[in-house]
Amino acid sequence: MGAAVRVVLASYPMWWKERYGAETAELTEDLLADDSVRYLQVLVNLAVGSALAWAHYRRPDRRPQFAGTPWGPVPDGGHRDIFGNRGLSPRSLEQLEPGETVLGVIDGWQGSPFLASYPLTLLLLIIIFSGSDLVLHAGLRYTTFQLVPLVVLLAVCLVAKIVTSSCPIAIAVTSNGLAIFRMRTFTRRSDAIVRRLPAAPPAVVRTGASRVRIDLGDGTYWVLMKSLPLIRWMGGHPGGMSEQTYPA
Amino acid sequence: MAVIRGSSDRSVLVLTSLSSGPKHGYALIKDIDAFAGVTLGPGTLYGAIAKLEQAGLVEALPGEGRRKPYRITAQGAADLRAQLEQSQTISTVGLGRLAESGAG
Repeated sequence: MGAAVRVVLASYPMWWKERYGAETAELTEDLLADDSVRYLQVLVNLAVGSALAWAHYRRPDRRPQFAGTPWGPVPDGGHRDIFGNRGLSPRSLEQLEPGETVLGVIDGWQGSPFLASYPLTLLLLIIIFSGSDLVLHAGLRYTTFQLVPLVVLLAVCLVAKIVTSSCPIAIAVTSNGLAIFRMRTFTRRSDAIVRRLPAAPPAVVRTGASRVRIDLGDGTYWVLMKSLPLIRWMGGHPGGMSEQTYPA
Repeated sequence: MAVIRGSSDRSVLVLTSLSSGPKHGYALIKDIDAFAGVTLGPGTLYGAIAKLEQAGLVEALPGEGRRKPYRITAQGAADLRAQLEQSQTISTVGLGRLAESGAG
């Protein structure tokens, strides 16, 4: 297979390469080994196929779909934050139970995201202020007056973040049921790894405008969701899952 | 949007080929070339297969190595039958009218 063919094969959309790439390469090799087929003919055809793949063919729908298999929720501990909201203790991907597999993941945020994002914002402000100070007043020392309030605020927000358990999480449906994972255990955007989800009883998971209520056996949990796929997934639930605003 | 548009459509050619049994890409190209005189390339063949697979008209079977055979689904067979019957009706009417007018 020539370099030009390899380049054209590489030009296909990623989803196409994942699904049909190996087969197309195999077929191309077979055809090029056939004396009746010209190299240029195959090359042009692959280029047309690549253009069509980008222009016309749909990426396979990776949104969660209901497979019709009922599942039960698996609470993994919980806590109540300073606002009275109950949260779930996220676990890492390495903490899968024996035989448990992740079927699908939807991104989300647990706790109060503004508190969680404050430390990062303040850190950024410190860097900006520090930088501008150095630029505008070259040679001047960074004063205690400027530095201390920012450091105190940063510390307060970090504590608040821990107390409210604000963190990015991944709501996953595993073969054992619903589970909450720490987002950083997933290496790709969780939207990209959403795969088939089994059916969920309407009483278990409900969506709001931006929050999701999860009714488990030991209480009701609220999780802030950022993911449109989840909203669409809920909207398509055959059991007629109802939308509700937060607070309910 | 209809996946099958006409009897010369690549989708119809692929479905017709698969109606005699599962085939992988190379076998499909050779079979279509033999019965229709149309030589599909790898790009256009897998374009047609992608459309048909997403529409649920064909499905992939576990294959050996990188080759993956495809087979027609029940829905695919029904759609193919409907399309071919429509084409047959048009052919019959068209040929009949040509004969009547003496143009053919």
